[in-house]
Amino acid sequence: MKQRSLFLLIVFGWLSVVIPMLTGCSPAKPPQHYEQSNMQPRIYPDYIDVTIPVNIAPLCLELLNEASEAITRYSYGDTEIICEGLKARPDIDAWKALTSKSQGQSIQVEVFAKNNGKWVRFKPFHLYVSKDSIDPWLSYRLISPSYVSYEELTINQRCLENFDEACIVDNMLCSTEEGGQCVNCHSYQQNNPQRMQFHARQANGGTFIAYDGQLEKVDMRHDSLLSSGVYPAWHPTQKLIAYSTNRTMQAFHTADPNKIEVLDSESDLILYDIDRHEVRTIEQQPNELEIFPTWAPDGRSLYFCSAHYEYKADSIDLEEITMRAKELKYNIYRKSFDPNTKTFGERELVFCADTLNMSATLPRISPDGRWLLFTMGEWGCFHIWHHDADLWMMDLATKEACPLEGMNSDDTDSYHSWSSNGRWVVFSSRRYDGVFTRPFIAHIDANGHSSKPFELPMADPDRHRQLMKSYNVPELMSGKVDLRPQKVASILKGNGTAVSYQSPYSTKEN
Amino acid sequence: MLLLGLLLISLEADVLYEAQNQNLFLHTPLFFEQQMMKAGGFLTWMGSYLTQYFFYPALGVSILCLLWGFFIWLIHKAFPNTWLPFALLPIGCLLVTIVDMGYWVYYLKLPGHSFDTTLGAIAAIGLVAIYRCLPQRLAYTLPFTLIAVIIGYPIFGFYALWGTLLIGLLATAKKQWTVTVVAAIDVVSVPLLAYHLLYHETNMVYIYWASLPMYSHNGEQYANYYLPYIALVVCTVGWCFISHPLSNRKWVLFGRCGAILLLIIGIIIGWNRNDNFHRELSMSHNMERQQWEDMLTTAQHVKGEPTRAICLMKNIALLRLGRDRKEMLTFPEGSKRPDAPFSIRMVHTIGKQVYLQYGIPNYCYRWCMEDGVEYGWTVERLKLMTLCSLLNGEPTAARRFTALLKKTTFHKDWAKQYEACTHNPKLVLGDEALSPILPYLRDDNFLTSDQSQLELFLFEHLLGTPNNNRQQEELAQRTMFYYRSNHQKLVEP
Repeated sequence: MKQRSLFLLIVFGWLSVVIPMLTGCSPAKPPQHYEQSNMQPRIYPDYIDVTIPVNIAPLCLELLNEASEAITRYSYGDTEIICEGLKARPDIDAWKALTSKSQGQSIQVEVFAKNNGKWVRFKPFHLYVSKDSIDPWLSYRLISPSYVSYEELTINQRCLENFDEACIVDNMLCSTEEGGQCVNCHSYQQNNPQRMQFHARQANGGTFIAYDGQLEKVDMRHDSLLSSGVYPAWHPTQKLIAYSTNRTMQAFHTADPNKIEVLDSESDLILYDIDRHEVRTIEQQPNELEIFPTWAPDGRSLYFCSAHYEYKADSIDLEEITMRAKELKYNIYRKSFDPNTKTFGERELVFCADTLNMSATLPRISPDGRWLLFTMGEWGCFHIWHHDADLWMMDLATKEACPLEGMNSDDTDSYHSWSSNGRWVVFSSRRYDGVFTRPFIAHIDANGHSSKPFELPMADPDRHRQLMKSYNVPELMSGKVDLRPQKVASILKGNGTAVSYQSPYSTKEN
Repeated sequence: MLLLGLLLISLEADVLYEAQNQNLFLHTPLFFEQQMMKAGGFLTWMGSYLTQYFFYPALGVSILCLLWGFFIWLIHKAFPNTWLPFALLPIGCLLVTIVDMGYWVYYLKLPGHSFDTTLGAIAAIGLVAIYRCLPQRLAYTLPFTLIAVIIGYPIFGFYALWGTLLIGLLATAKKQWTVTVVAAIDVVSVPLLAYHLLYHETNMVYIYWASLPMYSHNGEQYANYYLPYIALVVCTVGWCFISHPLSNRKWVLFGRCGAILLLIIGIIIGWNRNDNFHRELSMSHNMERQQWEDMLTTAQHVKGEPTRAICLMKNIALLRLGRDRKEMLTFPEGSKRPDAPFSIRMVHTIGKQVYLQYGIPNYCYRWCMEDGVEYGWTVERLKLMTLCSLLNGEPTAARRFTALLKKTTFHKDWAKQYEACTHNPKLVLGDEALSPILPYLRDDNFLTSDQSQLELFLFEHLLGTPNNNRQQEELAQRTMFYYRSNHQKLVEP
């Protein structure tokens, strides 16, 4: 009997320790007596007064102010979550209940810190819970911010409603010491996880295309093309993908904080027909460097960027273009597209960045077709390495464009992707350290106004400060990609289907 | 054991220190998680943990010797019929895996390599020792054989397979065929299952060799370096078939003498004693500590023709001490190829420090990042990236790296010292490591590339661009001095 009691005592004792650890928050109560501070707490990530989607995972945070103990209370009405410790990690079920009740309203967050035996209550802040939900999955490439080398890199997907993360592609499954592999440019048709593509470069190279369960590796190399497809854009409804083809090079700054410049010596636009395995040239203008195609949501026009550049030398001179890299200013253009005849119209200027002595890249149009979001930097096309890069928004109805002040930071703000409902944008930012890109999410209202963005929530709020990898090309998806990396690797190891090249698309008279 | 330990400390202190410099162990859950993403992850995690003790080489060697002592005890338990001198043979193999490294210390991708083999061998022989202790009935031996691989493979990788293989062989000797068959099936199938169900970071080609170092570079394999591993496995496989100790005293004596001779010959052949390599390491450690006089002493006593790395570091030391250019002539000059089976690029070895000292932090930072990605993050790279960020006026980036270094065991103080600089940039002006570099920094920027040719780039960049300051001109002239008559020798293959 004694032994049994002892056993039960041990079990209950153990459970009383472990259960609070598993749930993240203990049943602690905020202190009754405290000093009120008129300062807001220093927390990581910076979630102060951000707008969040109703279906987002718990916003775990870490208190950076000096404190021996801390208590964080998330509350709305009579519903509250209390977390003890310097890291606040709300239980996911309690969080879901709280966000569900507070949608359209705001959650108040109070942080209490104990220092030198005294409790301080910082000025509370709010999390505005939008009724607009966000696509439940996000995919990204996890890559070290290196320049030429690559080793371990993956394309991962993360459920935004909780902390589940899964790998879609791992380049190490195809890499050996004899030959490495780089994977990049994953992209989806209309946020559809069943329709995905990405490229593999070098060992077992090719373009991987998944379309409603059909998996294929395509070998897009062709004598008539500058390169295989690079930056992709799925047609919203048809089995067509527009790509840029690029001759890309890298050079390194000796003193500039940007450290590296990635630039194209030549680039064109092509269209790939998935069913016919056929490639045609869309744009191949002399003295123009075309890049970053993207379709209008109705599929009736193709937007892209293009920089006018004339070589002084008689032929392509890599040294010359490197020396004149700052002259590369990209504007945004569009061409109309007839889905029936698959013909394109003439190029027309949409946004003239060079007159502002700037360069515009990565155009992305909101699902309602009204807003054009793009990145602006002083020069060049690879703005993820430019500390001055900012996000700009253009109202396609009025053609007015301006920087998104609420979203931008002092450091790089670049690659962006719209949610299916057009109310959220995910983008890459190096705002916290200038080195590693992290995904940030911001709300965009019907008038194109952005809210303060928040960093992708993590179960351990400190994780992003430890991770030595960047989140590259964040893309929102309406569901989970149902692919295992081993399956993808087995396809990549096989031969790719060769493409045929057809004469360039005719340009119709406007 | 004591003798081996003393030899290690006295001859290889710089190599061992460099092993911890090229290692990183962080006291964070994420670091553990990242190691466990691969088969044998626990082993590399433990290996990285112990490698950091080479910060004090004597401490690291003491731990290593204790582990070797434990290993011999395990051998005695697992193979009771083996004589002691033969039990020393695996220790010799373990020692050679460390002392034959040479320039691999910069290129090996396996975290905690210096301890991994010892820990792995302990795990493998430990499995055999446990198997020996079990009642020799199928009800015990069969489940143990199964569990040994299923649990052992994710933790110890190849070494669990090796241990199970030995169990299978011992069972054969005892005619326990079921155990042998199960062990064989396990060894073949568990890594395959793990590939399909557990791990997505390991190529199918490497699933059986998980947690072993890969001695390959630029697509070429260097098989000689696998010999101590092969000898280690062969030794233990042989012991499985020794059913009783030899009773003939003459043969026992002959066998013991033979084993000791083999051990000595193996260690002598396997030990990398290249003078230039050791001097490079010593000089780079002294450069890190700003001990310029010691660097010059090392460079002065070089035996034979020095490598370019030695000459470059010597030039920097002379300049830092403000010595006359003529004094350079009193030091041995040369461009001996580094003693390695593959071509060594200085950018992967001491080049990052050289770039920093020459006032081009961007290029130092770049190669830290490139090598960090390819060969893994190390203490040295994080420290250099911190210094580069501080010199570039990027305090938030510097804080990112000091935050990580603060999670190490032995580099916390260093991190705190430079974290203070991120909050108060004026501290850089008085910093012993950074302030001498400040005069070499330039505001003018050039978009170019070194093509991995460190010295040629320095020479061409410093002499070929306007606005050089006097110090940089001086440094370039020193390189020029040798370059004039040895142009081709400076091109790294």
